[in-house]
Amino acid sequence: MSSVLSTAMADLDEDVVLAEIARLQGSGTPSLEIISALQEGMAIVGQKFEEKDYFLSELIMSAEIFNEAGKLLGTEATDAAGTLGTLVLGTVHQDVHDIGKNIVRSVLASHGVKVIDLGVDVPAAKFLEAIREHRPAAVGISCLLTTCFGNVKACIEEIDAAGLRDGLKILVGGGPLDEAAGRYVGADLVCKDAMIAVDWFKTRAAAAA
Amino acid sequence: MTTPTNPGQAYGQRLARMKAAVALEKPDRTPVISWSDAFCANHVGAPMSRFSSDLIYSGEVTARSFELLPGFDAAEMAVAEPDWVAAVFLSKMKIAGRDLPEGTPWMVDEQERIAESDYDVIAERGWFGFFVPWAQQNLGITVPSYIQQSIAARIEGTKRLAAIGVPTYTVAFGGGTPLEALSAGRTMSRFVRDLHRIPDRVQAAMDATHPQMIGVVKQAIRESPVKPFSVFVGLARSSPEFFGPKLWDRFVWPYLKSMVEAIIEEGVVANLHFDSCWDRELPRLREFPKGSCVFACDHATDIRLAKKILGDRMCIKGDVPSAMLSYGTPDEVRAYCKALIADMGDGFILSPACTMPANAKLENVMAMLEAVEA
Repeated sequence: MSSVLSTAMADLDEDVVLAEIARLQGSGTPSLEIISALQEGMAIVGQKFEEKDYFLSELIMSAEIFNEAGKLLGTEATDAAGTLGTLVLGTVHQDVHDIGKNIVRSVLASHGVKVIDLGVDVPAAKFLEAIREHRPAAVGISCLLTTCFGNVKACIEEIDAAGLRDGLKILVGGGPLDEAAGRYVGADLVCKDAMIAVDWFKTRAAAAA
Repeated sequence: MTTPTNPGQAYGQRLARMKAAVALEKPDRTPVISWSDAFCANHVGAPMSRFSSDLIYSGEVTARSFELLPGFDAAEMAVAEPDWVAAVFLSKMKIAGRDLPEGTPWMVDEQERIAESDYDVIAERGWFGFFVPWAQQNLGITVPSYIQQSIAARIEGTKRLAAIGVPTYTVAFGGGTPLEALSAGRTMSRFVRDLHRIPDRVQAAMDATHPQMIGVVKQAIRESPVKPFSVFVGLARSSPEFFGPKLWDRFVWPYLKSMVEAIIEEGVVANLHFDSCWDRELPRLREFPKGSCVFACDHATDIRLAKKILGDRMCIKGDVPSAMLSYGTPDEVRAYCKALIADMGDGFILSPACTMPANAKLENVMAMLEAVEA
């Protein structure tokens, strides 16, 4: 594994990351090994975020670099690296605010979660369809507007009614969505930031190992 | 506390209460105010589509809502201007009747609307040299005529509120940091990457923008027919929650500091409407003169920490949680407000965290108003 790559990823040095990937590809290093080094760097980013050495902008930047790296490595390689499980993700119906959702998408993808991003203003039927198709470990519903909490609740109720909740966890997040609101909508976990979702996937994977 | 039935006397009593809180003196009771926004339309049964798109009408509806809730000491804003709010953030707003079903509150549709090269255009032409043609071309907004309409609507809305004895707490003239608009126009992800890859070009655009914005704010204060009680400095993405000290010290603090100082120089209170968590940088805000600012927080900042650090320098305003107002019970709201009032003491204004949620329950709003009357 390339320590240069993982260190550059942790330091958010995009130029070195991309140059090192090109060098490793030139020398025939398998893509999964390259992604593994990137993920090691991302784990350090997550640790620094939890220790308040890094802030949201550094999380966003790390995800941006990972996205750029993914372009060099190809979708198949990054999908194959989604070893922690699958998340179906979207903002709830009638809410188009997607900064939080996009941070979650990028951060989770860069930590080894395969993310199926349904976009914004997603009706419950679309979540159900994606759950049936992808059999995810979790669904992530993002909601910034208090006026849409009812839609989150209705969406979760539809997932329940369709018999899709067994073995599936519902993660929710968004500025005003606190623990009380999480109970109101019927979620399993309220994620105040993206790293809480990462930790949930890691804990789940460790328990299954 | 009995509110006088005469609107002029009621206005004076409410204004005195707010002034005492801002001056860190003891008011007759804790002032309570609200930026009620889309809640007003739901409250009085007005169509959200018209409320969102007709400036004068939004002022009428706002005044009707406050007339029905006489416990409030002020309306934070006199009118709702969603399209303009979006425009100054280089974005488009989705609004009911045009982009959303009737009854839905407006929401910003954040897309990548400016390119990396636009930093250089702003640096060369200044903010208005860029923004005026950009808004016309991309949003169909003719800036000078819009500003005229906006000023007229604000004046009328403020007069309408005053006629029922309600002061208008603040007015927005563009006070903020350049980071807010640029990060929205680029999208947050692109903007963060720009800060890492091309920081000097971003800063050049900010440096060309900011003096012009300060000039506009100072001129607007001087030309106001009535001196505003406070001038709005609205920040969210500039929060220390987004940026570590190195980036924050370079791309936020110098602009924030000079804007607030400019407002204070004009003899007006700076309304620091700071969303997201500001815990880390609260000590910096002590640099502003005593009694010159109000720190308004949205429940992400620890309001009791803010009191501890800033309480002897500035009034604190906040922070009844949006979710509680929309989905909690009156007992929960009353208990939250009473605890807050007891802990915050003088130099405190009770208000919703950020704006009043559009779907706040009326009984919860009433509970908030009752809490100050103990």
